[in-house]
Amino acid sequence: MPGLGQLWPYIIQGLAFGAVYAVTGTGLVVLYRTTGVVNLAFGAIGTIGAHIAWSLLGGSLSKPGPTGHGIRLLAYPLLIVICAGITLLYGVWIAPKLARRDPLVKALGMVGVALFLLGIMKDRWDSSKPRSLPFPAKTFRLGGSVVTTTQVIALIFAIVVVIAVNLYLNKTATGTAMRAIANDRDVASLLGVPVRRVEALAWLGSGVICGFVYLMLPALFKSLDQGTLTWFVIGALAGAVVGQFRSLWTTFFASMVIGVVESILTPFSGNLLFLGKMRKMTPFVISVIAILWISRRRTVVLAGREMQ
Amino acid sequence: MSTATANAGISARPNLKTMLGHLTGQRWFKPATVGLVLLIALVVIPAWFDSFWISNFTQMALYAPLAASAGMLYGRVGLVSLGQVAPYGIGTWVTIRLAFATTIPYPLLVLIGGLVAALLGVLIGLPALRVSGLYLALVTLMLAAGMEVILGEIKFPNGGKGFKGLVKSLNDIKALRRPSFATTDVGYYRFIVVGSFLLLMVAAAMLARKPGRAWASIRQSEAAALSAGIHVTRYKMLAFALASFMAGVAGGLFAGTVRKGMQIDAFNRQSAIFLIAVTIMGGIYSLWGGVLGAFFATCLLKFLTQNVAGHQFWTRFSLSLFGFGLLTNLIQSTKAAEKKGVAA
Repeated sequence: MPGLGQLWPYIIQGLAFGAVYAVTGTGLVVLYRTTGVVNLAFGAIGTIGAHIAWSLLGGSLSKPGPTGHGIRLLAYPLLIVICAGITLLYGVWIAPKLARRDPLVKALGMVGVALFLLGIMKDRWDSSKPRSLPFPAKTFRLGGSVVTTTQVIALIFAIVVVIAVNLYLNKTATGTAMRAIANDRDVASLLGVPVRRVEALAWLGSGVICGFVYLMLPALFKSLDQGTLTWFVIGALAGAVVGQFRSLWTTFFASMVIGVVESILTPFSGNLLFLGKMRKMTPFVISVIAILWISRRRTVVLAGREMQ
Repeated sequence: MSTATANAGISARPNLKTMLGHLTGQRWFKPATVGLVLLIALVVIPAWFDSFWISNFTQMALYAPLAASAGMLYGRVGLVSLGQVAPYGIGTWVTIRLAFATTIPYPLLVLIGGLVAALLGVLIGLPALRVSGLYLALVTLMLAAGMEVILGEIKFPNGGKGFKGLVKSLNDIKALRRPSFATTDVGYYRFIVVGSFLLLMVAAAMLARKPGRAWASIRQSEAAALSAGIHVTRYKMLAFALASFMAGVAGGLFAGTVRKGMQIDAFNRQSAIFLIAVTIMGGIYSLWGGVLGAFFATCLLKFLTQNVAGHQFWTRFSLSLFGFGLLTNLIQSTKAAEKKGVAA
């Protein structure tokens, strides 16, 4: 088993990935709490935004990394605008059509969006060619290992986002309205809450978070692989599942734990090589255990009441 | 002419809808349709189409029971599994491994692959069945993602020894054997059609009998099913086992189409998501939906690629088309349900 000195770089890397999981989980939880939608297209939206940014930075099929001759100033902000725009567009145009369906159907709607965007990406940006979208970053040494500013930014950003969203939901009128809608959409509407407008705000917020996540994620993965980035959301769901799509802090801590555990399993060798090879299963194993724990008491719904 | 006579004239005039309703209501209609489709699949298609189309129809025949298994779970039992590619992958792996390690006849190997997939499906499904709706969908998606990691790590056997069955040198990779009566592509296509047909018949038989009625009851209301004395967990397990068996056998049949260098692409997260889109587009309330979905995903796309609007357009946009189709389907079903005033 590797010592702490050997694990240190992996812990740093794990904290950065955990932070990105946490921010993604926050985006998913906020949207679910307000609209009942599990945004399975979060990754696809972010990935298409990152590809557009890559093109604007002068990326071409012959060169994996952007050349820097493109519209550099616009590329990164535009990534966030595109992610927010696509998410908001879905939120105000399509989501209301499925608003009265159960969360499962709403999630399947997002699957449709994810596939739609993936098809466009496969056509416009040949998925077989390697690409990268570096985030302007510097490196420094901490405890004997190299740390990038992207990793630090990811960690600080995750903490700021969780605190800010918590404060927003609990201390502002719109945040209260969001919680009211999450509790009962019809009653909130009867009480005068502008449901559509508040939901649109939640979609916009989730889209902006998505943009920020995909500003950092390609740099952390050192690749712009369409499949990896698009389905990153499935791993990130684990934190939200542990938080039962309600608690932002539980989502944050669970995501950090998942990120660190997944990363520190990497250097395991010898008899524990198996753990290293299966490290990518960490979010799935943790979330399946969490789901089973959450539902350990079997319930049925009878006449609108949950019974055990 | 009096009003009464005119009304009698109108009601006596058969319209197309009534005629179709009358036709499809006949007892012989369903068996005749199934027989006709089987005849076309086994005789007409091999006689009329070239190897390119035989390959596409082979994919369709493979995909039909897989899509039907996911559709049956969703439409008939109310359980959404986003992880049907997991038993599909298990069936493929087991069949390939046993085909290299033993001399068991291929049809039996496929059956064993299906049974192992069903067994693992039950073992995995037992705890997963404590949840339903969104959480069940997420659990199954996570399991599919986990299976992708496992298959990616152990890889598909290629003729070597040991548990994994991997050779040390690329030159030693062996081709997977096929049934002695179906060594050619056309022969293997017919073998797959018969295998898929039998799978769908097993599912149809289950749906038409006691399990089907129990599943319908569970789908309507678990509480009502419980109060009616239906063992909900047992019947849910049965549904999971049957769906996993169908997917596992389909996987075993698939193994014989890629005889060398099986890749993980057909069993990854994207394939899992794509499968549910195809299933919903084809229709979830009938096993025919699986056949239709498989037709859309394989033959129709190839036909459009060859004949309509550009060579690569349809292939490249296939994911977009199915994503759009899934979304449209969900919106239309919601509208239709709201129009009728019932829960969708």
